[in-house]
Amino acid sequence: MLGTGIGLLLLTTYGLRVFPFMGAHTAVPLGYDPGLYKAIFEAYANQLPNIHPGQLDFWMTQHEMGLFLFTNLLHVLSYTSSFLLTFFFAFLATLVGIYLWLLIGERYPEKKWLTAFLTLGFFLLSICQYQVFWWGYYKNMLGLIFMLVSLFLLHRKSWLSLLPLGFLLLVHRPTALYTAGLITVYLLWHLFLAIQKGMKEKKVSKAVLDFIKDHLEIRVGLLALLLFLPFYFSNFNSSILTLAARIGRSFTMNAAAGTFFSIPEYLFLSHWYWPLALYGLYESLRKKHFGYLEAGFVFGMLWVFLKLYFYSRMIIQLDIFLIAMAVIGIIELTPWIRRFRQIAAICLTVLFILIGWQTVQYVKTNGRPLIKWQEFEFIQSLPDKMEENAIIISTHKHYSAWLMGYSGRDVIAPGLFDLDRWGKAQWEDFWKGTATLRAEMLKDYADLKRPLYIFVGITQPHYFFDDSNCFKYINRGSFDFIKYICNE
Amino acid sequence: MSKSSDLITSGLLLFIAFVMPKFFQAPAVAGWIVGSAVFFILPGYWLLKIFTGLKIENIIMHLTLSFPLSLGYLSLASFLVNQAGVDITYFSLLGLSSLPCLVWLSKMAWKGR
Repeated sequence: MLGTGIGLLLLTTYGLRVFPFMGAHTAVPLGYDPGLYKAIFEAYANQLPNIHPGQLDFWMTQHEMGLFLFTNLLHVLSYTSSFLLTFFFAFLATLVGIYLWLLIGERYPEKKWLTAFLTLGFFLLSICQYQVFWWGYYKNMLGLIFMLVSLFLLHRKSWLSLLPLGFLLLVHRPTALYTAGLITVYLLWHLFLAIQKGMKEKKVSKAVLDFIKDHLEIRVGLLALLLFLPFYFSNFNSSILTLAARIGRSFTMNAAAGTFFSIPEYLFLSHWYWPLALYGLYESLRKKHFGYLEAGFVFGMLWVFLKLYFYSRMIIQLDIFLIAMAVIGIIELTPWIRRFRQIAAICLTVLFILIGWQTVQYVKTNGRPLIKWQEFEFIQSLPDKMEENAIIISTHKHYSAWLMGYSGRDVIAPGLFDLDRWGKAQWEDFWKGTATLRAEMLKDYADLKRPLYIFVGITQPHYFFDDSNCFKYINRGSFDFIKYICNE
Repeated sequence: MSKSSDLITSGLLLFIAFVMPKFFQAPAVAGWIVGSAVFFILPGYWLLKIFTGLKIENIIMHLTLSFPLSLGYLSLASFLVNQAGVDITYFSLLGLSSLPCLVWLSKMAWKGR
């Protein structure tokens, strides 16, 4: 019975994620990032049978290479980029729930099926986890998988944890940071207990030495850093020092939050989970059980509520531990549930229905691509409409990633990619100025001696190019595609 | 599963993965059908076996853990061997996939010495 339920939960989780790809116009990825990922997937794949990250565009080298080594393998196996960004990504998003179950299952080995049912149920209904998928946060998703697998293997005290932990460093730095943070909180807690015990027995140094000997996390963590940091040496300044400086600054001033839910939004969308999770934490502390799940929950709350660097994006990891603690909360309520069987069954059913209703409403409203099908189709057809060496100017950040991933041409975009030569003020002039001014400004790119095209999408302000002879409309309608002809 | 059936199954899978592209003359078929099974499961499965101190209760759990371990291992290994001058092709990845199994065999041979 529970086994069937678990199978259904997994199928529903996958179904909820692939649903938008099953319509008449399939394979439009959700969110914003897929365009960027597609460009990088293909840049790496085009280098095969070699891997030379140093020869890629500069903006691509700013992304950790782990995910792209991974997609390279899948390209060798004939997986296409479009498939990786839709159905395969949904598959990975479903797997996160399974690895979370494995980790929580370690806590209650005698209640594995119940734990599985609750974990997958809460995971399915988590709007936050759905949103990670919707935004197309591929590295984040893979990072979650490797974080959970590392913690599972560390819990089993296996040196094999070195592999997923080290690979996590190459996949997603924020998730690696979160993992390091939670392990630090876990170790500090247990070190404190060890010292306390040592003081009672008047053998503090022995207690500390035993602590170091007993905790594999210290050795594995240090070795992972030692082995995998060399991968970052080529861009040490931008990948490690900049990150450290940003984290440091976030203690004293407002930090960059990252694109995700704000804290009030997240609390509103996850409010059903919090009482259970806090009860779970309370019971764990009361029973003096402070494992990775508790440490992850505490560390996440500290990071997010203190609004440290990238805190909005850290909500994703916090939510994983919120789900875990909510499951623990329910399991700790089991004696009460047994006592008041009928009332408890009604309460739990109502709870699941309420969360389910909220999730379904959310998915119904938000579960669609950011780009219209006609625009997506048009962007994909651009290689047939342009010269090989043409460049497209994206006039709105909304379209930059799509153009980069699907047009097959270089893109100039505000604040993105390598070809942009303008600052914010110049882009403001370009957006607000006349067509004559725009034509004048585009002379900044004359030295490239490459054809220039401008894309203006449906959902952005409409610009007019008629009052200058330098522009020729290739497509005119709900979205425009214009050629700059004064450099020919 | 017993050690010998593990070895026979892995050997068979590797053999099929090796001959499939030649047989069908279409790497896509081999990639999708057998390549995925070999690359997603085998290296992780043998890595778990090598770390014999690690107790994994059942085959489903073994396979579940094998997937990220396989892809993590193959991604890293492919990068490292490429830096050493080896091309990343379907067949070089097959070689990397079978490496953990060979390490396990060596370990067993060393133990039984």
